[in-house]
Amino acid sequence: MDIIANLSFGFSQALTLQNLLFCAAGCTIGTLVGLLPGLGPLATISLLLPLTYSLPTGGALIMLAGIYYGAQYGDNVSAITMKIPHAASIVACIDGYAMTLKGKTGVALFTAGFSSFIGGTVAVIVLAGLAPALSEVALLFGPTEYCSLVLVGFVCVSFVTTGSVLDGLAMCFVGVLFGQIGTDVTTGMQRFTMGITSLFDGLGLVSLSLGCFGIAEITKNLDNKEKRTPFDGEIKLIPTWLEFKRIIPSALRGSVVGSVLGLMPGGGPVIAQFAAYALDKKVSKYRDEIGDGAIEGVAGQAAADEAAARTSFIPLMSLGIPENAVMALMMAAFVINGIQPGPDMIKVHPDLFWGLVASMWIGNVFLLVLNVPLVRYWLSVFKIPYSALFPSILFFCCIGTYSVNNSLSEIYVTAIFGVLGYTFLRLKLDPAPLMLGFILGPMLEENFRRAMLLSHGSFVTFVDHPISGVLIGVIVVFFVWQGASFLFTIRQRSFVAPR
Amino acid sequence: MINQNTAKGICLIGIALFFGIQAHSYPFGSFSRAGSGAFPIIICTSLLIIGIAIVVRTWFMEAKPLIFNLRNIALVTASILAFALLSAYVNMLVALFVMVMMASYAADDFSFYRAIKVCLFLAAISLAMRFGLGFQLPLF
Repeated sequence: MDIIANLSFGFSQALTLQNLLFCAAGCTIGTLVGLLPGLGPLATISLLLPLTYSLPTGGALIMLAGIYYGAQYGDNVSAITMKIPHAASIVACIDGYAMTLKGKTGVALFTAGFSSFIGGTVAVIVLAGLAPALSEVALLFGPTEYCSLVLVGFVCVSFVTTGSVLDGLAMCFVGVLFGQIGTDVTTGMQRFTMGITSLFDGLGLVSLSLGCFGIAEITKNLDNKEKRTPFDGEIKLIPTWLEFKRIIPSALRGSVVGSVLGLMPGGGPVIAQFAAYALDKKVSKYRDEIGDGAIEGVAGQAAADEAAARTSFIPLMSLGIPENAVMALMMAAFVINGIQPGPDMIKVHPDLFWGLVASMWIGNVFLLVLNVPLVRYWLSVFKIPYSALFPSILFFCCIGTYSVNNSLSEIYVTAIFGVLGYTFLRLKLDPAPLMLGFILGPMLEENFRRAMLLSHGSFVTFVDHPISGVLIGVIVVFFVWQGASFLFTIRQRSFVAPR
Repeated sequence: MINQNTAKGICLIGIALFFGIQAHSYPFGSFSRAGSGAFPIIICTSLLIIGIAIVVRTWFMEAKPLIFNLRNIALVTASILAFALLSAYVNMLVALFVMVMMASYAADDFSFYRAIKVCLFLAAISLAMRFGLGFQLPLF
């Protein structure tokens, strides 16, 4: 019954006019950036981070969260109508676009919208039920456990990012190293600053993320010379009763898969979509149709996508550990507003926590009511040519970095990270783990030092503590499996005669 | 042809060495009382090993060419630098104009009139930000 009392308290917080407006703004901006090429949720959240200084804390967080899950929905729309996945809706391109080819765009969009709603609702219930319980568990965590947990997070994130595990892990470490630039909090020593005074406080989060995700992404899109033709087909939104009945089971399956995978370190919408799609292909009554435009192919993944986007807040808000790059930025947003996410957050700031949880469901309603009927208007943003769009995004990136401290030197840092980010993208190194490493790096170092101090310099402490031991065990098993599968591939290849 | 994977490995090794060499000059301390250099050295060593592993791995994989469009990234970066410099020494409206023109030139379908329209639109927005929302932008 606690959940109901807590949720109703949350709704009383989230349903104020001000918070409703922030939630609507977040969902709208999110949908827009999900639709448009060039700006993903990562770049947008970092762009708006400086703005959160001047906004009320609860409203700012509600808006940023809205951008995240709104972008997931917007992404689905562009994937279904034009087969353009921007950030994370590769799966929606398969059956969603196949439905468009069959002239069923409207039904596909309705399915995605409605399934997202179901997914979001299930996830909010999971979030409300599980986060407080998990924060109790978090009290068992000491520096050793936190250290191991961060490492598990790195390994898991590396596993789900594009490229190999080694690439992802390398990017996490690069991020950790970037996070070391500045004054060492323990000894007060300047590290890697090369005498540049503006680096004494460390690299600016906004400059780094706008460089790596804004500028680099824009330039990469400029290299792709594909022509985008705006969608101009007919949209008939309302499905038949038979079609509607097919949405529900698949969306429910997707919601459960998404909620669970959203919780896992390194989890989140992308992996959840794939898992839900794979599950539907195995167990759905219409599994033979999946792949060429089946409702189940859209419903399951859309529900999983939205569910995972919401449950991925659980590790952040209960353990204080972000599990992916967007959550790492959300953590920065919490910290900027003077709130330390972690086990104490629910007790110390119940209004913020429950308000945010409730706002996620309200955001669901907004996305459903505002976006599904208005989808035709949303699609008109594709009529803006990219050559008009990207200089504007560039300008906003510059203004965004400038307004952090009203300092132009931040713009130079952004430019450097733009080049670096572009180089990484061209080397097929995903910058998302870098962001996670950058934000978790200082925490990892602090906990590592503390753990080593307590154990008198013995590394055995990481295996000695039961929770940490299990986490390290997970890492070892993972690497053994990866190594074995690599050797197996080489062995197989060397036995295949060259043709 | 530059192999993408080899370049990737070398780039990571370069980053590891860049930080590692500097970290080497910081006090290491002991593990029970780690100095400022201990943690970075551990991370750099791990990154170095991964970089080497990636280079070694390329021997077993097919080579992929590295695509790097120098023109676009150079134009975009130059436009940002021009924006920062001109904002400092002239004003942000001029800087905005120069940036949009330079950056737009990177697009395949560059159109002068469209770029002018974008400039005017962004100038209007920045004026609104300055006078409407109170942003401290050095516009003139």
